[in-house]
Amino acid sequence: MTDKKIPVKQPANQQACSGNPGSSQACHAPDDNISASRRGFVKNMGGLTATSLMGTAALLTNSDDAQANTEWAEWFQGNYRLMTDGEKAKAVARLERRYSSEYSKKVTVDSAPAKDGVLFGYALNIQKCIGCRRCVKACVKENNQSQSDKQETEWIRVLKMEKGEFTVDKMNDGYPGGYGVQVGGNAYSASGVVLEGEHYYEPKKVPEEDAFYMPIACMQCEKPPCVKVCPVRATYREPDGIVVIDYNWCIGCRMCIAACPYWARRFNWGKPALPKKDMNPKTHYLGNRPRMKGVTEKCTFCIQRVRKGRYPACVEVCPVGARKFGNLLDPESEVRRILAKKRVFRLKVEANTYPKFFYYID
Amino acid sequence: MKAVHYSVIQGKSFGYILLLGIFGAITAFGFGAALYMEHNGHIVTGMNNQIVWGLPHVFAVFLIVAASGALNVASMASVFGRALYKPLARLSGLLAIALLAGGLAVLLLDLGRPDRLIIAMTYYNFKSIFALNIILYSGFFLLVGIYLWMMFERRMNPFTKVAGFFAFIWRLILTTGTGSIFGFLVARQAYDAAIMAPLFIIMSFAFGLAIFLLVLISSYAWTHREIGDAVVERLRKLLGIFVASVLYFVLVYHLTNLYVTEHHGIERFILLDGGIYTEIFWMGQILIGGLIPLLLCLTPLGRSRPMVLLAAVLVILGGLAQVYVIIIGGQAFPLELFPGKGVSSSFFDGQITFYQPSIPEMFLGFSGIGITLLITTFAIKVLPFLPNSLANKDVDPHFTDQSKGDSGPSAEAATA
Repeated sequence: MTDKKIPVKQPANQQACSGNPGSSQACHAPDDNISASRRGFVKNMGGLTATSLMGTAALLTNSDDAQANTEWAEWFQGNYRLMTDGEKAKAVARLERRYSSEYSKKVTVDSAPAKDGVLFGYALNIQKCIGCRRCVKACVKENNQSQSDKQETEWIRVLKMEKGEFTVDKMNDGYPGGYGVQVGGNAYSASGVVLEGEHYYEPKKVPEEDAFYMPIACMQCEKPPCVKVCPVRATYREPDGIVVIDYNWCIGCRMCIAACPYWARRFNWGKPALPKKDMNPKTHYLGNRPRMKGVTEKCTFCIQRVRKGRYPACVEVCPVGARKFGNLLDPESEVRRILAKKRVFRLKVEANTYPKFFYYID
Repeated sequence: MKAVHYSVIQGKSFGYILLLGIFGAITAFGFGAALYMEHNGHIVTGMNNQIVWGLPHVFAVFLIVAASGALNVASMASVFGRALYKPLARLSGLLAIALLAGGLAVLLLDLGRPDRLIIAMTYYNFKSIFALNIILYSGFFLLVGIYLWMMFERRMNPFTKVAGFFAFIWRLILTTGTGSIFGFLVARQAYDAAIMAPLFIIMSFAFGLAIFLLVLISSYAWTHREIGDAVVERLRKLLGIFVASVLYFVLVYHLTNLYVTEHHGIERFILLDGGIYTEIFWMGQILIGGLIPLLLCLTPLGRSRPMVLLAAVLVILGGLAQVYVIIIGGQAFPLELFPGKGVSSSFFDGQITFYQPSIPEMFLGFSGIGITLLITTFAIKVLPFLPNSLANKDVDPHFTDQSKGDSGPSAEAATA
């Protein structure tokens, strides 16, 4: 590749290009013909683009396809949090048409807002939990989560905690292990950072010996880190304390997943696998309505249920009554009575996220 | 210093067309991969719910960090008044813009919903460091664009220093913002560290300069323009200082973590038994990207032009390794909910996550480099970014090449 060094196109430019270090006069010569043809090109391209866009719009808006119509309208849909009631009603109606067509059943999309004087909270008795994971399965079913080998989504995880042990032979193992000053002992062996952990624990019988269980889902933090990091406010805290996601507004940057200290969020890596027969038709816009690929989702305390006065699915299904739910602002609610009388703790309290998900023991 | 003459390159040779074709093809493959990912979803990538940012993010962050670093050469001329770097200022500005464009393209095409990009561009959560970065990137384009205009337009030349100053401050803020994306992530053991911001700044110095050196030497060699040791030697030594600084910051980061018991898990993972991540850290980041370039840049071993090129290439490879360890390694280590407890669960808790980049991810990642070089190659043909000569006699007549024992003008006189 050669360029014959300098006076490249117009020798006259050579002088014009000289100047102060880091500077020069313009090294191009205006050419009316070129400018005119460039203007013409830009004009033609602009016209072509506008025509194409209008044609696409006409095709999509006049389409009988509910999905195409909805997707087109969603392009111009605002952030749900800022929509007027009328806009919300239109958005919901669009989605109902689309889902009913897609799943061949009557699907309702609720848009019930938060009620005044309600702040939802959750309490879980870890002494009672037997690790049966019925809550996980009920949640998957209720909330239309993707279930396929390729894309499996679970909002609740039930951790099996194995107990560590103290051993005499490690009594003198301190840190930093034989070098320098001993800083604390190391007789305790944790059951280990699990490098090859089990995806599923499938014991014949629960609870297992020497194990206890710790169910975890979204903690519905009062100061949620996920909300803070979302660049477009697609996720936010509702007045009743539930942290929700406007799936239509989410751009799929996955920052919220990285920021959650409880690892409670899931991404739709592909189109969620939701068989028609398993689809729960009673949905909420901010909750269990079918999600699209490329957006984040998480537990919403079953917003479609709790705003109608029902318990979350996991509370209903728990065979040992380990899960309790209620209004934290109501002194007579079950959850408030637990907070008043039981030994309660919250997970990662040092993060100051103020979860509304409490653990307790009798 | 003599007056600097700039010119465009002819760009009619087979080599030039071939280069454009190669960079265009890399870019096209990247866009194809993005389309494929958009159509099928990110399920076709190696990412999962633990490693939510994969190889495209590694390339994107690397290029964005390098973009601000590439502007350093111009800053040294305009802000710090170093005359030697003034002829290089235009190319420095061009590379800054091209690198940022390449990095951002990859970042945006890796969104779960790139079709909703308009939301990210028009609607901001000002508490989000991610949103602030979007503003910083847009501002960087604008400021560097103005800076270049001041340099190109003779009547605007008096404002070059002011524009350069603002661009310099902005680039510091920008890299602080990029580093803070990780520094502010309190949830992950590998991040949540204030040192991330200055670490990223110093990384940008090294990566940006390495890319600058590579492009500068290559473009001068391929267009048969002269570039003397006065420029290359200074840039080589500067690169050495930047590489040493990166190593220092990495050392401080790990020493701090090692002192704090809470972080022993992640440190053990990265430094000792993290498998591929440990190997990439020691072999890629420290040896290939740190110690060898340090040797080449700060000792007479690296005086020859090929060795300078080698040092630059190694810094770039090491930089990619470093960003890989930070982004992928940092996410692969399981989030600790109960330190000291072994945990297994119904959903991958407690596991070191397996990640293997897929081919579409690789294509998308490399397309960032393709876009950068495509812009650069095209720009030097249409606008005069390159000085006609960077020979010693033109940029620094008093330069003394100690290795050859000559001494600038007197040596020339003797020859004459």
